[in-house]
Amino acid sequence: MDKNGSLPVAVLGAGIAGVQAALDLACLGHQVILVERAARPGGKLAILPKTFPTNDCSACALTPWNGFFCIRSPHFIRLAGEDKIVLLTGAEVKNLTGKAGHFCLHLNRQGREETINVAAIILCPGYEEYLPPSLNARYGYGRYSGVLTGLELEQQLANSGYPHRPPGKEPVQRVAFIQCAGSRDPANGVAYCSAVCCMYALKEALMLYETAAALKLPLPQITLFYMDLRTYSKTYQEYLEKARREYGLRLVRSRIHSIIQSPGDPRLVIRYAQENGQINVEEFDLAVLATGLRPPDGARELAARLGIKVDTYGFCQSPALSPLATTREGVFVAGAFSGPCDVIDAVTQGSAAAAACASWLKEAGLPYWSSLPPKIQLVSLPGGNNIPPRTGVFVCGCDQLSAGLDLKELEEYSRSLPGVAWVERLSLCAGGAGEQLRQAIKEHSLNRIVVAACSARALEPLINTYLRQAGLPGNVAKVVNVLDHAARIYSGRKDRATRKARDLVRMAASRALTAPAGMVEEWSITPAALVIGGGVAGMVAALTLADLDFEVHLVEKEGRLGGNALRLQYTLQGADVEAYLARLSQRLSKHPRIHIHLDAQARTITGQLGSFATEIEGTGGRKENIRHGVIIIATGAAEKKPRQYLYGEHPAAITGLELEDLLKTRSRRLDSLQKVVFIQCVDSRDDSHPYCSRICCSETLKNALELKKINPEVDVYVLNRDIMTYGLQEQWYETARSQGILFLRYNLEAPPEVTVPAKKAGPEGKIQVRVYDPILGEEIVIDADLLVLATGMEPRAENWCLASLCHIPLDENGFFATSHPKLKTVETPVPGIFTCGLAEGPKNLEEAIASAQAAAVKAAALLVQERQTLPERVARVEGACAACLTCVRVCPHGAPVIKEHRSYIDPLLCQGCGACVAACPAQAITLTSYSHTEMEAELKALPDEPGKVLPTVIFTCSYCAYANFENAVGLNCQNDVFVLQVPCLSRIGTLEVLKAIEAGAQEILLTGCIEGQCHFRPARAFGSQRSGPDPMICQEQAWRRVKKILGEIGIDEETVKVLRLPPPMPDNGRLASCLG
Amino acid sequence: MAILLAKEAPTLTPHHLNLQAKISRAMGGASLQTCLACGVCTGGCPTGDIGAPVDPRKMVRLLLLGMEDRLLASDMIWLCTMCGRCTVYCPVGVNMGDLVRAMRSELAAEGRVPVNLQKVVDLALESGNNMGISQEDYLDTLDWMQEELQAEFGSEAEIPVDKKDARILYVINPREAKFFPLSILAAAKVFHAAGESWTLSSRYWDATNYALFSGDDKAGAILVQRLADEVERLGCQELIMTECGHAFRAIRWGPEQWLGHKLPFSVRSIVQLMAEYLQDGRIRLDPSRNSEPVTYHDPCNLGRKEGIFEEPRQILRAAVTDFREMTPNRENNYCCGGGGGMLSLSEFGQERMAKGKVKIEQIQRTGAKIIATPCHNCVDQLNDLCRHYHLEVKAKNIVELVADALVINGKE
Repeated sequence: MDKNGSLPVAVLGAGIAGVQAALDLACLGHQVILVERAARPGGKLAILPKTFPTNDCSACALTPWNGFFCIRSPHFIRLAGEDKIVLLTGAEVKNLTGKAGHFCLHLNRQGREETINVAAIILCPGYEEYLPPSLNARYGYGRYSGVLTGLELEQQLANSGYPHRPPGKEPVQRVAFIQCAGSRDPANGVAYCSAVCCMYALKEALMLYETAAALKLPLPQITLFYMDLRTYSKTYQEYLEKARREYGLRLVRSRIHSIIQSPGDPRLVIRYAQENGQINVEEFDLAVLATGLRPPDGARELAARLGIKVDTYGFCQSPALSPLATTREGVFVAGAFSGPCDVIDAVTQGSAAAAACASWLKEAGLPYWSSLPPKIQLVSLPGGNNIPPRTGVFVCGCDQLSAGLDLKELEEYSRSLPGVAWVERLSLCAGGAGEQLRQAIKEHSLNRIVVAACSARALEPLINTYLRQAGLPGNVAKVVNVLDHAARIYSGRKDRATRKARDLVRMAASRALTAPAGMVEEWSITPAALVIGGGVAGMVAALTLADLDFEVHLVEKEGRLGGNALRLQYTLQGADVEAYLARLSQRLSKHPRIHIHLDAQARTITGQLGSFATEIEGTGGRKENIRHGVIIIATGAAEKKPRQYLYGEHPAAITGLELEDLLKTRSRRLDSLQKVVFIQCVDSRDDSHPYCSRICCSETLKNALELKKINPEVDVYVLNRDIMTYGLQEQWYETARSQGILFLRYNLEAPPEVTVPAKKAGPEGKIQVRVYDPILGEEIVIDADLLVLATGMEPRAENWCLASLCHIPLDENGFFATSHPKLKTVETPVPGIFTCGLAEGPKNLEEAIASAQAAAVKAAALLVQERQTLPERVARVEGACAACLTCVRVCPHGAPVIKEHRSYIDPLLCQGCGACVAACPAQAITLTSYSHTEMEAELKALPDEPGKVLPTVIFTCSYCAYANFENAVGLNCQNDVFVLQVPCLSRIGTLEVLKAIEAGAQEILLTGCIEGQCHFRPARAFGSQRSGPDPMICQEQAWRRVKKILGEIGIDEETVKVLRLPPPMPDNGRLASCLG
Repeated sequence: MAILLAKEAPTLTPHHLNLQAKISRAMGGASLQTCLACGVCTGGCPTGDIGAPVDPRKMVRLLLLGMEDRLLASDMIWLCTMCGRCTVYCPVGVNMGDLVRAMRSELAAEGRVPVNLQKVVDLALESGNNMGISQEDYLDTLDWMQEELQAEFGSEAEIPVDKKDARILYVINPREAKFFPLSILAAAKVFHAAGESWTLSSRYWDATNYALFSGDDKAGAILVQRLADEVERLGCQELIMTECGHAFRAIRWGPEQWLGHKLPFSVRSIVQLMAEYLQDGRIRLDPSRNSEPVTYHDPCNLGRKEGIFEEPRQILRAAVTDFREMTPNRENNYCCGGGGGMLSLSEFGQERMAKGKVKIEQIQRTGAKIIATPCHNCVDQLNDLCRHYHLEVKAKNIVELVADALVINGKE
């Protein structure tokens, strides 16, 4: 593993956090060894059909520009460049020796001892489902039929569809979700909140409703029993409202005692208390336990072997305000091992850990194995389109292919094809394939390439990079998947499989002849960043980038760095914010690569990714122009000013931050307090402010505990709707209660009332709070000395100006939108512009730090490239455009605009789905590698001899549909099956279907992702435009039209079928059922 | 949402947490304050909404909000049977039985125990047993039972009284001496069959301790000390309690609370002893002698509070042919409704029958003809319920079923 004394980084755990960390490190040029204990990578996400809040898989959103990643694909992860990420599965960590920078990681891999030398380690071992024995005792789990965990329900929905009870009989009607099944149970040793169960229960409730609706079954009646509904993230509250308003989900705030099922009676009986103490007894067909998370098996042993500290539960401990660090230098952590968290936080932490690790390596001056992405040459095909094509066919000779196909015959056949100048065997998985390819291209002057191997979507990024290194544009290569689409479809029938492979190579070679000469546009990247906003997020982002050797301009509109954190003293966990801020400021001001612009604002921003130019206006109108490659927006958010509860009218009513001010200055006012009331969710979580601000509950706990510290006799009342102490923060909620702080629940419909007591009746200077306590069933009156209003955060009003300056969108609440709400947590939809911290949405201090580091590592991955090329697969308007606006209407990403009476497609915004290509009535648009000519040439080469078997043509998108065909094994298929891949099924229009019929297809299957899960659907609204549709929806009209045409010319309309396929579960492809 | 407001909304005075702190201490920890108000307990009380309401969560709430007087004046404290089912799954580990006991203790100190319950305690203190049975009547009963025993097993079989250095001292419920002497005979048969060295006492032979229910800690101490003294006086090694749930709980839980120390000898229930006999082969049983369907009721004090779940079941499986579990059972079983002193609180007689409906339905679902339960309190309550609801089911102690099934060498 050693090369010039430099070392790779080991990432332990190949779940989503580990993958994100590995990908980000690899994009910075680091060599990564991804160590996975299980036999397959992918972690928990690979067994979940969908995750909240997007209700899809979409893990492939992590795919970098130069690679391939699909959590459900057997190819898992592939990066251009040689083996940047090496995946070791079935590997257990045995020991760690050496010191930071020069670790020896001892592994046991499939029974063999192995030692690898690594510079640093990122721990991402994830979590396990927590299934304590109490689930059996209380809820009959494992004992009663009809009691299952959330995970079991999800897998049942994915594998066998809508649940029936008893199995095979009636579809379930009455469903109970039981929250906190195992979590928030200190009496049984688990005091923490598992952070994901409320949301996944809502997701599963939606899945049940939607599945029932799709099957035209009566909608189930779902009741969710909970204590606090922790919808604590930006979009979660809306998710809940969807379930409630659209489907009538019933919420009952009650922790149930037990479930009773009498012998011989399938009904599950739940007796529960409503908030007012009223008792209900209800029967259910199904009870779903929202089980929680626990540290992974062997976490303590792992911690002991690695020499790091874990908490009482076995979660990894991090030093204060270093959320990604562990107690050992050179060892970092991300994901649920550092405490229960959802996918959004796990992914952010994965990136942040990569950033922390990379900047630590740089700072420590340690050698690490870095190979930057291959240099790209400006190329065009020598001689343009005029020189005769010389196609090279490369056949991969891996064991599986040699076993399933007669490769010799395939090679012989390939030599006979028109245009083929060279045929060669190579092994793509082995090192040196790139070199072999480059040499063959050079020696034989090849200008078209066909590769017969396995998954096209996994190999294309690699092959394209090899070609560029050889001076050819990527679009002249075509990968055909002879493993899945020939050897596996016809497994056990080598002759038939080989004939199929010949067909596939022939079609690709025919298509190669028509491939136009490509062009690669590129420009150089200014290795500098502009960070707007000098709060903690901006400071951390700036420092991380500067530590990675990039110039940083930090622009702050105030005269001082620190932002909101200037008003904080300690965090809930007791970390000293003042000291942290002082250290951070000092490092920033001394850093040679950081240029701080105080009292300054960005006035104009021009340019694009890699080459922005910004005019900064400082004090006294002094202007400065700077050039930079990326922008990070970290402008923060503000505490909302209350509009009720006598705020601003009575001196006793203050906000949470104002209380922080009093605490920070140890105001005398706090000494004489007898009664303090906190009201949570003030002007929050209602129709006008539909999100939870995440931090207000924990801030209230922190301040309430501080008040108790000053005067233990003070009575503190916290009026709340739900206490949002998600994850490990729950322990502070318990601490607060044990200190005598009282929590009273109020409903949005009956908020507390705040009045000034009549002079004679009430004590001077007090404020009277009346609140209805549902448990007592009566109103309680508190004469408070201090009323603290927790109002939550609101986006800065000036976000609009900055958004229009950068041409980036804001989300529906006014925070900066990211391009994917779950998996791209810091990337705005515009390449090269990132956002982090509170500017993106509410976060606590540690979460803001993590998001800043994540933004920095993403920015660094762009800056490190030195030169930027346009994405290769883009649509261009080349033909006769009539400016009919069809493309503008169809494009979900807002890429086409009309310029000078012609459509122009912005190549930086184009995602390459091809919907516009198929929709353009003038056929004026071309998509690189998927032009009309190329696709026609491919279809024409279908076997035209009317054989005994009838050709079935399957058009498939490159994502979930294709993934379903990657796993298909041992099909017993009568028809001659051709799987033809396009980026998105929306590329297939009327024309392609008719061409396929013309070429002899007897049956045509159009397979794409299921509705709402198309990879190309826009995750965000763009600017003021409404969010565009799923591109496939635009094409449905075309598919209906083609059926009608077929009917008119006497062909069965059912010749064409449209299938939308969900992502496959591990080892469970769906080709068989499609053809069945 | 319509909200009914109290006419006079309570203004919270600065609450001093006096009672709360005291009760937290009595409960052996501060878990009370960490109450999540989640409702596990309120939903867990099977009868809280039947008749006069009992809402455990509300009790805690009143305490935490400093509304102590209202709580102390509430009937809930006496209506609660302290069965503990409500808080067996409490996430913060509040024990409602202990909480209510602590509240009653507070009231007892103020002399606010309901009259009928106080009478039982006073009678036990004055007469030596809670039914005021004279020593003469008691010894007569024992003689009579000994005659019965010898008629069956011959003259070597006996019911020893005040036998020095016997291995075990067996103490009974006065109810047995007064109304059901056959259960004393049944126990004697089992001891005889097992070849046990045992004795009864002539002085303090009452196992019960109603101070557990009344909250009177001083009385509790006296009653526990009496039994301890008898064990010492007779030189026994072990105290075996009759099938009486609260008596067993009082002697296991009480000494540390009331005397400040553990007892210097072991205390077990006769159920545990019988299970041991069975396991060691000291007694043999023929289940065919009990062929009617039998179900088992877990007494709260023996089960949930003292963890005795499996021994009675082991015995029943060996002693009867058709054993049927009721649902729910073990730690999740419903209280019979007679616990917590309810049997002596005649002012709540109607409530006791009303709340017992849940139990009756549960028994009915099993189709059993006999309810076996190792608690005299439960037996009385269950028989009352069966009469009240016209259910032809009989409640029995386990020792009776065991005695009926005994296989004695050379006999039969």
